[in-house]
Order: sequence, then structure tokens, then C-alpha cells
Amino acid sequence: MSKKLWTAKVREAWQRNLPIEKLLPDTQPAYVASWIYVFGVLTLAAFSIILISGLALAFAGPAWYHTSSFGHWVNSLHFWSVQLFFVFMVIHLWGKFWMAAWRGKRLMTWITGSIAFVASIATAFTGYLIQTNFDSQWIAFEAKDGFNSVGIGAFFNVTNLGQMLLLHVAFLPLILGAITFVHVIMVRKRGVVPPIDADENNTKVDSK
Amino acid sequence: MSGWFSHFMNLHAVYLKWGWIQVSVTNLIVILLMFTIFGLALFLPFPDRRKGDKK
Repeated sequence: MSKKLWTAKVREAWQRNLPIEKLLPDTQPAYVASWIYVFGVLTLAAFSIILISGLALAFAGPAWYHTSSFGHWVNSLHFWSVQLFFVFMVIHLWGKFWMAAWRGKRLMTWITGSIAFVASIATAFTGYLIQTNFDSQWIAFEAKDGFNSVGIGAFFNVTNLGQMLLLHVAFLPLILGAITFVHVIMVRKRGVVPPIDADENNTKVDSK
Repeated sequence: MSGWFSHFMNLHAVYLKWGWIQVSVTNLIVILLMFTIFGLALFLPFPDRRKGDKK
């Protein structure tokens, strides 16, 4: 018997763990027909707008978004999408916490969601620091005091604009995007968590 | 921005304080709004797409 190539092993593991029917389903359990189940995808939608507007800001630069009307508008779109992103994400978190969403082997879904939450805070924080206005100056020095007081102020300097800018546009979005990707894959692998009193094998609702 | 909106946006933040708890009115409004959305999401009926298909 010939030895299997690593490509075959990966393919078989993929098909075993996440068949295409699970990755792109056309039916969902009946309990998903509730408004509380829309906040995860609303968070993803807000994240998409943040990424697209952020790319526009990065390519056109502050000389555009601090001076032109359309630049101001895209800058505001980026900012307010972040506000909505956090509102949707926190309501998603409340919903999942109160239905104990780590049940049914969904611990990794819960953990990746928690890490994404923390990474989002770090990304938003560096975003606030690079506004180059009095708000960002105030936030940077208050945060500097805070980080110093807990003994981690030596590891990174929140008053270093260049460092914070690069963390915000180059590093943290990649980390957040990667964690979010794993989170969504875990949701597809394990399925959407049922409410506490619902049957896991609830009647399927055809989405057609 | 002009008129009352500009005036409103340039006011100082008002803070509420109960012992060690301190929150700005703005943040309190956002938090209460989020509680409201959460409550509505739990209790508002979700539209049933199959209704039109019933024979």
C-alpha cells in the first residue's frame, strides 16, 4: 500500500471535520429564527465596513481624510462602524453568555470569540490613539499612566504615534481577522448553539 | 454643524457618580440603548418567511 501524500491527509481531515454541507448550509435549525441570532452576522457586517473604509483611509492618507469633505465622511464611516461593531458584538456576547454557548463541544467557539473581543479592544484602542487630536493625546497619556501602574508600560509606548499607527493598520487587523475567521469556521463546524431548553436536533427550517 | 446641534455637541460631558461608580450621561444612554436592543431581540417575533407558502 502506497503512503498517502500530506495533501491527501489534509483533504481527508478537512472532509471529515468540515464537510462542504456544513461549511455552506442551506438549512438552519428552527430555533435560529430569533432576532438574538442575528447579532453575530451584524458584527461581521460592521467589521467588513470597518475594513473597507480603513483600507480607503490607509491608501488615501491623512492629507485626504483630514481635509476633504468625502475624506471626513469616510473617516466618520470608519469611526461609527466601530461603534456599531462593539454594540453588536457585546449584544452577541450577552446572548451567547446567557445561553451558555460553550455547550455541546463549542468551547473553542467560545474561546476564539473571547480572544476576538480582546483583540477588538486593542485594535479600537490603537485607533483612538492615532486620531491626532486632543482626544488621542488625552487617551494616550491616561493609558500610559495606566500601563505603567500595572507594570507593562515598558513593553510598548502608547504615546509613540508611528508605533501605534502601524499596530492599528498592519498588525492588529490581521490578528483580529484571523481569529474571527477561526471563530466563524468553529461556528460552522459545531453548528449554532441551541437555546438551553431546545433540542439540538430541532426541526430543520428550509431557507429556500 | 450649526444651530442647536452644534451647541449641543460642544457642551461639556455631564458625569453621574454613585460612590466609586462614575459614568457619563452619554455612556449611560448608550448602555441603556444596548439593554433595550437586547430585550427587543429576545422578545420581538422574528418574521416567518414560510407564511406566504402555506396552502
